[in-house]
Amino acid sequence: MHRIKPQLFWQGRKKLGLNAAKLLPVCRTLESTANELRWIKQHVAETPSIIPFGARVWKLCDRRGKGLPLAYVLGNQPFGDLEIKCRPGVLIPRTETESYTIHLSNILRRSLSSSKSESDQHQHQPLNIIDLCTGTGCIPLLLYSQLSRSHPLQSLNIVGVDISSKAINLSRQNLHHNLHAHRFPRPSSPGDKSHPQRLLHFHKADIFSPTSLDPFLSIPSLSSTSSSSTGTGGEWDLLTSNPPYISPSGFALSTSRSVRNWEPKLALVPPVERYQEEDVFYARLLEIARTYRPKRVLMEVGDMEQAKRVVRMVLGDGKLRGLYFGNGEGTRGGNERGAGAGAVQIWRDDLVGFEGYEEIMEVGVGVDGQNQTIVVKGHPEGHGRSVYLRRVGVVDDV
Amino acid sequence: MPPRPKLPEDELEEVYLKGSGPGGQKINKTNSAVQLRHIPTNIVIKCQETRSRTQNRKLAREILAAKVDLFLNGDKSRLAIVGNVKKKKADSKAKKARRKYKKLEEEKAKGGVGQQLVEGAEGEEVEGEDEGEELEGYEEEEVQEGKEAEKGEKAEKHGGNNADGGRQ
Repeated sequence: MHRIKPQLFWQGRKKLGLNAAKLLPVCRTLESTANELRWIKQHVAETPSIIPFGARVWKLCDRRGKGLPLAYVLGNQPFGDLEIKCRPGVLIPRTETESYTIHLSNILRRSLSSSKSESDQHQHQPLNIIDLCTGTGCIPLLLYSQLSRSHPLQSLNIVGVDISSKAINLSRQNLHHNLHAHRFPRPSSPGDKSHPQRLLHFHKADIFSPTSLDPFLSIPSLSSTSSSSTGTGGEWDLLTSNPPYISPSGFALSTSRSVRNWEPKLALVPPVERYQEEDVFYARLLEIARTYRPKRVLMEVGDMEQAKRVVRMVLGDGKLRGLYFGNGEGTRGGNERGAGAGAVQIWRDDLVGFEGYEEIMEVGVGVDGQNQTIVVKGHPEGHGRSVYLRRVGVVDDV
Repeated sequence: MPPRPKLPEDELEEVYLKGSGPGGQKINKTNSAVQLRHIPTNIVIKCQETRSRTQNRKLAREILAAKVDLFLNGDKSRLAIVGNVKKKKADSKAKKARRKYKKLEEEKAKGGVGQQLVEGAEGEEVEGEDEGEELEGYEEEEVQEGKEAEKGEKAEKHGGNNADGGRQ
């Protein structure tokens, strides 16, 4: 890290006032100092208190200056059109996560719109979504918000799971917080049989312990409508996860200080087991995908290398390969050309606004000795951010 | 007043802003900036007004539309027309204030002036001055081109006195 020139402190003080000197060591540049100071002042102006304005700004700048992330200082972080509450002990939602979540919701919305024209029965089949390692609950909440707004008649069953009770408490608070702000409609209560039935629940469970997780993975027999007694339901339409994916050495070397010192390590570094340490969660997530065969899977990853490792884990497993890649079909590279051909893709940072970008990438030698190629989406300069799987037979209208 | 300008999505291109470092869980810095380019005119603006990328994306489109409108239509653009109307209002207000003062002073010179009238006139004058100063200070602070247009929009929305929201 470079030293900050003393002259910058003088400039900051002259332009932005005394508070700037507090923020500058953390923000590093005048531009970012000005931004954060503005956001802090806005926050203070919006939240009434008997303590004078200046004193509160000073206090918050002081905390921020000690390295506490801005989202913890202000207590919230915008995520899509939601406001997510943040508290030490639970990971702060990142913009990268926001970006692919919006993209995912667009995929789901389009597939809902196209299937709706086929038959109205689809609306009675709830859309089943599960998010593992949910943290603040940002992914399920944003998906719920977007889907309930674009398809007000669609039944939804959205579940968020996390091992930390702090996270589960916070995610439930976030649900109520955004509900009170009228950012999305109220989910149905348990006994309510009215249509559409929209469920949004957060549960505490260890995803490595089958006894604790399995109850939430099996979808209860459809209680949405008594008339549609088709037993075809009970499939997950989407499984998402932003699991801890940083290796212990990566945690020490490549995380920013504010992440290292203030955010929960539980949400960042996986416990050691087999595989490469930081990939443990993907092994387990794919094991779940094998058993429960969700239609779509999205897993956030740390970088392109990790994305490739996860893709190799998928392609190296016969059953998963058959489920999501098709047998041999995908080796042509453009494995999502044919409708319903299944997809194994890597998404780069910032897909929203850059949907058009696409390239073919080699991920290494497969079991058959051939070099495997898959589709990579997003801006070419973006980091590899997530691995997306779509089951053979499921169609995305993008 | 002409309607707010809007640009078709296919004339816009988002410029990819590469953040520092690996991103994702490893970094928790707010990188909410959005950079937008209008392809036909090659006007580029960057918006980092709020902490929300989604919000900035919307704002950036508004600002860019206003800039492009100003660039293409000049005096006939919404920004220019709105500016004109405001200037006229401010001018006439200043004129009225000046007249009032003049009249008062004349009356003072004659002697026997109603105390109340003076106070009222003074209050009005001070108000007018304040507003002018605020707006001026506002414009001086703009470093970035893009922000100026946006502030103009904002000021227009809330009638100019939102300037003290963030300031002491």
